[in-house]
Amino acid sequence: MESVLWRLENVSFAYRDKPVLQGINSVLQAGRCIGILGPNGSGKSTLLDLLAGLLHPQTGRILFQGKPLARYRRRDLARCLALVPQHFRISFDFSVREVVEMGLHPHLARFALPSFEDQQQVEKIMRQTGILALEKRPITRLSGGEQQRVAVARALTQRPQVLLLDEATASLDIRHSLALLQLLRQRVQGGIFSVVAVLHDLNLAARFCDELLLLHKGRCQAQGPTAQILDPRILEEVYGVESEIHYNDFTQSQQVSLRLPASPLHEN
Amino acid sequence: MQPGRGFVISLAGLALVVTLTAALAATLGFLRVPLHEVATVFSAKALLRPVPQEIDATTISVLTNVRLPRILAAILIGGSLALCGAVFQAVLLNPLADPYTLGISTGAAFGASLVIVLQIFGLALPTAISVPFFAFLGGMGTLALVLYLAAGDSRLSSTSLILAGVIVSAILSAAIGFFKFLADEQVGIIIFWLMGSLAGASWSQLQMLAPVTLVGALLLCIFGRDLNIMAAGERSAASLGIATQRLRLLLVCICSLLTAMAVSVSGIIGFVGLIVPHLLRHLSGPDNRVLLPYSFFAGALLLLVADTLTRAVLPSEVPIGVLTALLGGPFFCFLFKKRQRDGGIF
Repeated sequence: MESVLWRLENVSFAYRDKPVLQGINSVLQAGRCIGILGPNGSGKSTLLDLLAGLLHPQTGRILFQGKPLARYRRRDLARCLALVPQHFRISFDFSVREVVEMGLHPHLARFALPSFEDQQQVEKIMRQTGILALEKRPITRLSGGEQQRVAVARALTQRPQVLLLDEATASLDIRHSLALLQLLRQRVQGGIFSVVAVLHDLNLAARFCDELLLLHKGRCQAQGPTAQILDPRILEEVYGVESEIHYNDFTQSQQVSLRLPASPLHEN
Repeated sequence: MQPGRGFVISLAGLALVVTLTAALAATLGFLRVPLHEVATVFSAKALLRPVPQEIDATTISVLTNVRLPRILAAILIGGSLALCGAVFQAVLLNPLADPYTLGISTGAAFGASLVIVLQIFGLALPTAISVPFFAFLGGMGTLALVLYLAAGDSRLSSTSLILAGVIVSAILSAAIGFFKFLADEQVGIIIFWLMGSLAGASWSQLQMLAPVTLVGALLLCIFGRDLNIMAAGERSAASLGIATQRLRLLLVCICSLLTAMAVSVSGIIGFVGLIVPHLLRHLSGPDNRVLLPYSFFAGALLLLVADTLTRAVLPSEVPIGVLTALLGGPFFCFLFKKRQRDGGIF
């Protein structure tokens, strides 16, 4: 499954007059898990919003499956792209199940109710994400980590071709982070969907991503297979830290050890 | 959970209760009319048949020309204010929003009293159309200003939104006060808009109020599921395929139109849109697919009962807007305090 999902051609984006992304050229392929990395303020979330069609670039253009993103209808896009935001909060006391069922929205006609198959699918996803026991609880009474799993379940219910994650593991504990990423990884390997994930943790990225895209000051600093991008020279340039990268038999992936350079931090 | 059979049954039940209450309300007043005579007169009129001879002509006139339009206006206005409250709360993600706290009602009253003043100064405007039209402009303008003032706060938090509503209301109230000064002898009409009353409801007003309210209410109820998803915030809703900005603008315009229609008939009646959806959310949950229709009927029932109380039960007629404010104001204070305690969400 080696087809192109996105093609970004000289994409720039600014909030008012504050440039965030500049001249991004990139091709994102289907069938893999792509990690977007970079320091704070490097434009990771903005890039994700551009890919999701929630924002539109001021210059350049973004093609999704060969067609300009701006020409898609929002609802059609929602049938192939699902987003898990960083902070998922909801303003009224909807039950967990009601929130998960919201993922069916782009697939349902206006007054249609979920079919029996839809209901079964919702239950299956809630079981897999470990929230079935919470199904009747009001979402506002859950912990941050539980709410985040509900957000993931809702996105899976959308039956997307691509799942976009914006630091979706930030509020999860270690066990739930690993469980979530493994669940998604299995689905990527099974050819069910692709994943594009904004991540902070280099070691999680090393374990779960096939490919990395490294942003630095609004530019695409490097993009390529994970093993190639996790390079001490590149990491020093982008993050200003020293690193040692080695293959770890226990996790069966490359892992990164980091430290601050001995010399004073150079000005960014 | 799903708006299934239970929802249809309770909605039909609510509609029946509203109808029965309306019939009961028609019997009450200075002139007591037995229930069977009310039923005879209304069914005869509805079927376009002549009313039987044995019923007194005054009774017929009181029922059809005075009480029925007032009852229908109470139902339509109560329903539309409650429904608009529910929609504003869902659109702005703010459980304290309603046409009154956002200042839209005052803006609409400002527009309506402007017409009166212009007429005094010799500008001949057709009242039947210009009053609702100016009320709509006043309501929309106020809403735009309130949203602009509160927009610095990206999440449109309760406090800044309500504060903006109160400030704009205060300015407009001062302007209305000046109009009162200008209006001199016709001051009564403007005071009527400030206090809120259904005493003046007539068939000619209903000709405009009824179709606009019913069509608007149906339109609003169509978007129940979209409103549910909007509760997850702009970014999530957009990623689920909702054109959030366009939808928000559309819904806010419809609500302002409905509020303006209501104000042009009854003046400012506050807090109905705040209390009704809030209480219903405790009973039926936050699902807007069921909450919106329930709000319409429950709001209709509330205002009908309240208006019948002021009209027929209390020793002298209290303006209904005063009554709802006296009941709703403390309720708002309670909600506001509870919200601070619970950390912002309920």
